[in-house]
Amino acid sequence: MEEKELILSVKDLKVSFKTDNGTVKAVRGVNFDLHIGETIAIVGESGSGKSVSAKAVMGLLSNNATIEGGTIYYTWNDEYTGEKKETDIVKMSGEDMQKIIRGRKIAMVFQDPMTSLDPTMTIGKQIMEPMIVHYNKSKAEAYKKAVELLKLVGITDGERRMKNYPHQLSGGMRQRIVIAIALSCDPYVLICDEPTTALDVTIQAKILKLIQDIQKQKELSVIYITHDLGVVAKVADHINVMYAGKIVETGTTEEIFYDPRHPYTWGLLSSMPDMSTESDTLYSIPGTPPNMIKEITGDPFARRNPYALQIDYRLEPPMFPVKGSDTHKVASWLMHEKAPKVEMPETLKKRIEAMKRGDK
Amino acid sequence: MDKSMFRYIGRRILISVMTLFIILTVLFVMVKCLPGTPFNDEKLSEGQRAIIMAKYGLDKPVLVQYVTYIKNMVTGDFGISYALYKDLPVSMLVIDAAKISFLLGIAAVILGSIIGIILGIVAALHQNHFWDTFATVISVLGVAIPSFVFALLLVIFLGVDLQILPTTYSSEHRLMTSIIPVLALSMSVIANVARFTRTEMISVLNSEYIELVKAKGLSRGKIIRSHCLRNSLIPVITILGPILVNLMTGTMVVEQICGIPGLGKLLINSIRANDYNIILACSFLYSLMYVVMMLIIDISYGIIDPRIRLAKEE
Repeated sequence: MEEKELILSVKDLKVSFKTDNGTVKAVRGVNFDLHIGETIAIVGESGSGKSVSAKAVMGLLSNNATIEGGTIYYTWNDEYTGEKKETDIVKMSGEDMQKIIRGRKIAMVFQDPMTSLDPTMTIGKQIMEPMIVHYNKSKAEAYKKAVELLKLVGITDGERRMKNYPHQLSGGMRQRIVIAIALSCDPYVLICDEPTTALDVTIQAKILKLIQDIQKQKELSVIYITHDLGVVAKVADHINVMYAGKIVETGTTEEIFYDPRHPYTWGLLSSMPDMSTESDTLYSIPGTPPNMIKEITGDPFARRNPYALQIDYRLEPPMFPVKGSDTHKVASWLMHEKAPKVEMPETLKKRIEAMKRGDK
Repeated sequence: MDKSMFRYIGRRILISVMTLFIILTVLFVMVKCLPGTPFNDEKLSEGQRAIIMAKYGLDKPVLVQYVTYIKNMVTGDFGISYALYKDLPVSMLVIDAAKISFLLGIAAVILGSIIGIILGIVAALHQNHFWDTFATVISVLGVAIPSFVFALLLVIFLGVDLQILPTTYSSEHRLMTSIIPVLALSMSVIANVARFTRTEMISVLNSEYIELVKAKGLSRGKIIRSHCLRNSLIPVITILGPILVNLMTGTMVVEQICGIPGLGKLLINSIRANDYNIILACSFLYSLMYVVMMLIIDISYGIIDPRIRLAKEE
């Protein structure tokens, strides 16, 4: 496979929030890369810092948040000279961020379409707004493009829908509108923050398919933020598993699904409902994520990890590369050469076998 | 859309008319229960009083009086004054007084809501900073201190100490003499509107659709102008009507302090004199204002907020 061009590169990103109870270190050094045309996923429980990382990329962190360190490099081609440029989003001013990046280069699809549209504005206006603001398009031009966008997101009677208000549309329709808004300025990167969580299961698949189709047509690079591995299994090229503000395992989708190494990933995979599960109880990872206000020593997952080693309680594991792969990396002491050999749970093994068979 | 909107308005109007009719009936019964008669001159003998009562039809059974009153009222005739302004038509008296009160009330609401909305927005945008605290202090003072105290303070400060404004109302210098009562009345409006606007604005600012608008890459100013204001001012409109009506029913003391010949003063005087028709007309006018205000709010709310308008349609 040829080396794809990098469009977004997050390096050692650290974000913390000031609250009344103390400073919450929500993101504690996150690394991930996004290549042109690629789809990556950031998977984790609520509070793992996945949404915060995405918001940092958009420059949409709330007022009490600070980026403590790290870089977010965005690579783009200058519109006039064609020259390739690299910008650190972290260092950009709020105004530049708003004028150049947000909505224009990087767009976002939100979780709940029922609440993410302005209830007092027609959807037409809401779709046209960013085009008029960013590209100074005339109303007529913006209108034409908006109708095209509606068609692109699978709304056939666009002309009529333009005059509708959000409450007149169903959840699935609204999510299509949100996607149309995100696409209105022809962004290069699309961040989908739990895009299907609030939707019916039948509509979930349709929306995922839609995003995939559009991605192919427009050469978009997509980041999925989700807690549901099932959602990303079919769409993502690369998966980052996030826990307590750090990425604990990263690899291609195949590597994560067929050769998971981190006990947390095992837990996530085991807790996915599926048809072949023999026992009638669904596995859940014991315990809850750690309180991020407290200083974390060692591996934050140690307390919930049945395979935890002594060292896990004292020292945080670095990223160990998995032998024989350039892409697969795991942050667990189990990967250390001196660590005892630990196998994944038997049921998960069977499950992965079943998945492999199913794929072939 | 239009058809359902008209049906909606029609139904609201019908309900309002029925409400007013019930209010009028209750008022009429209550007024008839007042002790004494409008003709309390000590020089009048029992016989003379009976003759006067018969002249005005006050000797007839209450039900007959009631039917006559309603009949006349529908044609716009609210009867004549018995005691205060001998034989002058009540409608004229009440309208003249109401005009003065209404203008003062409107001026106070306009002034108060402009200042209140600005204060509320500024407070919401600078949450927990100086302007927010400032607005909160103003709101607490405005709600806690009655308007007549403000009126007195303003009279003392601006009228007596600094001598820059006249203290009593005069119909010749209406603008200048209205400043003190309007300022006094607007304080509670500022307080209520600022507090309400702030709350609404903050909840809108934290809403998900504002997050999406931010993600579109709109500037802060544009976000506030085209998305926040509309959504947070809709609920504010609903409280303006009641505020105006409350203001007008609460102006009596301020009217007394500043010597304004308004509706409040007329009502108090008419109750003292047992002037039935004026009491009825004044009270009815207050009710009418309230009902009409609620009607206007309902309708305008339907026009501004499409969700309400269309909920009826589906």
